[in-house]
Amino acid sequence: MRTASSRSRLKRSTATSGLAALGAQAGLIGLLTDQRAMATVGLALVGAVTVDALAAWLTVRSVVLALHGPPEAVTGETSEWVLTATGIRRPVVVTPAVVPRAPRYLVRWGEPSLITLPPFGRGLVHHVGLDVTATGPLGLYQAGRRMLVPLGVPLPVGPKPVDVDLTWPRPRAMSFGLTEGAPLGDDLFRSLRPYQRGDERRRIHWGATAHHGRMMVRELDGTGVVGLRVLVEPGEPGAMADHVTGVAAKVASTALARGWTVQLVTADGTPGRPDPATPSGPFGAALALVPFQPVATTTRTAVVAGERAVHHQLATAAQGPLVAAPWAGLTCRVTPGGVRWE
Amino acid sequence: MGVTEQPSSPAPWPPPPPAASPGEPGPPPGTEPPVPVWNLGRLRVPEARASATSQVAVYVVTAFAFGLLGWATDGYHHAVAAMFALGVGALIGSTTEVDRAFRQASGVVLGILTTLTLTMASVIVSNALRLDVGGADVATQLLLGAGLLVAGLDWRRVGRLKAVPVLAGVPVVIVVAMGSGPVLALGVGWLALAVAALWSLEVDQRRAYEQPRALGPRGDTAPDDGARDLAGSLVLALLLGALLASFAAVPSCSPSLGSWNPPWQRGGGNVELPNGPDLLSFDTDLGSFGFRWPTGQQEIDIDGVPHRLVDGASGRPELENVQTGERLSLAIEGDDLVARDRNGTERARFAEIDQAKPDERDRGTDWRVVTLVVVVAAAALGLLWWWLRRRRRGPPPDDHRSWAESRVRDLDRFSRAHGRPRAAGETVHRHTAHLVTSVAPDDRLHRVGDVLSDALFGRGEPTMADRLWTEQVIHEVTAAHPAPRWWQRRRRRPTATIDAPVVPG
Repeated sequence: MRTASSRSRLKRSTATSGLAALGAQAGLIGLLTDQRAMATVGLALVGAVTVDALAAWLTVRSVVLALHGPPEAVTGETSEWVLTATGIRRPVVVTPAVVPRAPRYLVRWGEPSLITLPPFGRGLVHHVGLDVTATGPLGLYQAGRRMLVPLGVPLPVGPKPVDVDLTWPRPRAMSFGLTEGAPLGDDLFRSLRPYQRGDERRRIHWGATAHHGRMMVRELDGTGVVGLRVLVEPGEPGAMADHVTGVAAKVASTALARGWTVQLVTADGTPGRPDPATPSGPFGAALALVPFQPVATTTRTAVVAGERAVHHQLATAAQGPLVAAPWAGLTCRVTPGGVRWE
Repeated sequence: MGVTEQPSSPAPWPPPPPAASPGEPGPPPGTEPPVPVWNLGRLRVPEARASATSQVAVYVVTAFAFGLLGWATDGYHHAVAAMFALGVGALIGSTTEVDRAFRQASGVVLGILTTLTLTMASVIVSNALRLDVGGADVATQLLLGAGLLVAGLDWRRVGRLKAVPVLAGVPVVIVVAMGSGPVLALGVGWLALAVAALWSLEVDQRRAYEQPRALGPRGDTAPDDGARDLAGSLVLALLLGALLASFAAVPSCSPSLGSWNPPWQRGGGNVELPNGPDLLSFDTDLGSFGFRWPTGQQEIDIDGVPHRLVDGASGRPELENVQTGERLSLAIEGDDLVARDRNGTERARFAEIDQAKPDERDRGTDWRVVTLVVVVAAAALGLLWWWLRRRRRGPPPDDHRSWAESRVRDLDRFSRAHGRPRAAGETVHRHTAHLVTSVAPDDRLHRVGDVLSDALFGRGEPTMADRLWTEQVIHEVTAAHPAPRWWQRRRRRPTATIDAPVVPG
């Protein structure tokens, strides 16, 4: 994993140009007319501008950045990262080259420090673009480099679950077996607990009620496994696709919380690890990274065990045809048009 | 088992909007899911407020320039009026929020516009009403002061104030060019003030950036870069200016510049004459020039024929053929003195040489050149040494093994300072255990040894939390057990242990 970096570039302000022009003219006229005082002052001005540019350039040139971040991120939410900058001689400003631009951090030391990166787009992030800039002692010149800092493990940026008001269908057993929290049926006795409003009358355990002196009900586990297949068709990449995947995440996590077996079917837009090209300079436009393939032809079908697996798979859910084997359980299709039960 | 149709849930969001063409406004807000702002803007420096020190520094730079101008033109009253008006404006600007009015346009620009507008208005009014404005000085001061007052109101933004020293440099350069006396000292003094003001503004600018939260123990103690920056840039700038000025003024180093005089400066020269006297001085004055020679008339051989210098009919010098009496006109063409006959044919050309006399040029050692060569050579050697040192060292690698090696080197340095260097063949873990029993009775060093040993020879890499914890422990142990002086080594007492830090993560 190498850190791709642009060449160091220099940028000057209008005041810098004015100062350099003033110094150069004064120095030149002083030399031509043999006025030593004027030449000295003018060339010293040029010297100050030159020293400033050189200091800024050398500051940026030696800096190497490393990032350690969270295992996963959510679209639309910022994330905390540990930034380690080595080779710092003078303060540098580190700015995420991704969007939005703010904030800009002034890093003065090489020790690890905590920064907040702006929200990423949904997908798989292999590199984080950072712009490193530094000014000279007088602030006349600004030098900068753009770095693509590689991440040790690609960061999945999944959708933020979106609360929706759904009408859930009546669950039905897809198969039988002992699963953790198997929801359907009342074949196995698990425990007793105090009565709560809404409990069925037939679950009241009269013996335990007499023993404890208050109403007790029995808890039972079933052996019927309820399965839910969630087909996700996010449509064109964009805000609506993120919204659709967010709804799918909520549906899947709700079903998992009920103890159901959830199979997630998506068109997989996971890209290969890109070999980052040399980025452009930091003073142009920010990076327009597309962290996943917008259209995919591979269908990814997986029984997800937890919310993290849901998050990872939905991070790369793209537009494309879904091909899946027959499924005996419930099936729900989440599209830009809504949630449809089949 | 067939798929049973279940009641569908209605879409909890409206259908996706049709794709808008570029430049077409999107649907009204509130009718679609929130769209993230995809800002492709360029890097911008955040707006910063100048501190009081910076404001005063910039004002001093400007007032110094006004003072120089007044000194050179004997217009002290104008300079004092300008300083006063600018000071009042800056005082108002820095103590009130009036600078908000200058968000779109700079105060300097508005000040210039104010002065121009008021000048034009006063001229028009005085002409229309046929007023005799007495006291032109007072009017000038009022018009100038009004502009400077407006300029001073915008005295809080760092970006605006950075342009002020540049503008103040224009009159300074003019004064240095036209003035006499201690202009060099005054110019250098202004330069030092301007550099200090710009540096102070840059320090203020850095405060406008976000500060990352420190995790390490040295987070709150940022290195002192300010004074070093200021001193370095000031000294280097002045050295560079003086060096370049003296370098360009040495004729042997810059013949094209050192020997050239512009026409308005051409007042005299020395002409090397073949077969005659070595030097002949002459004076020129914009084309009509007389000439003088040391001892009477001089004869010059041209093509073996002696010629002598005589006054021409128009007062211009001419060369007269001693034998035939033919006269050749003399004229300066380029840098040469050219003798032509009446037909315009060039008969002789005399090249200009250095103004110094040959006996002066050849006399002794030119210590200025020697000093220059030594300084340049020293600077070149210094640059070469610095470049080779940087190249050999290079940017530090960022893998966990090199990190662990650095920490092991820290421990080695610590143990050597306490007179118990790491033995050859001693493992890292054994070394830290030895340190616990001998120098630093801190049990955390055992785990430090484990972490470092795993990082150096294990398959996985240490977590960031382990790294931070290890660095913190080493830092604390080093701080708690300073190296004894040479006279303390015989009676060093064991130091107390310190509290264990909280393991991050």
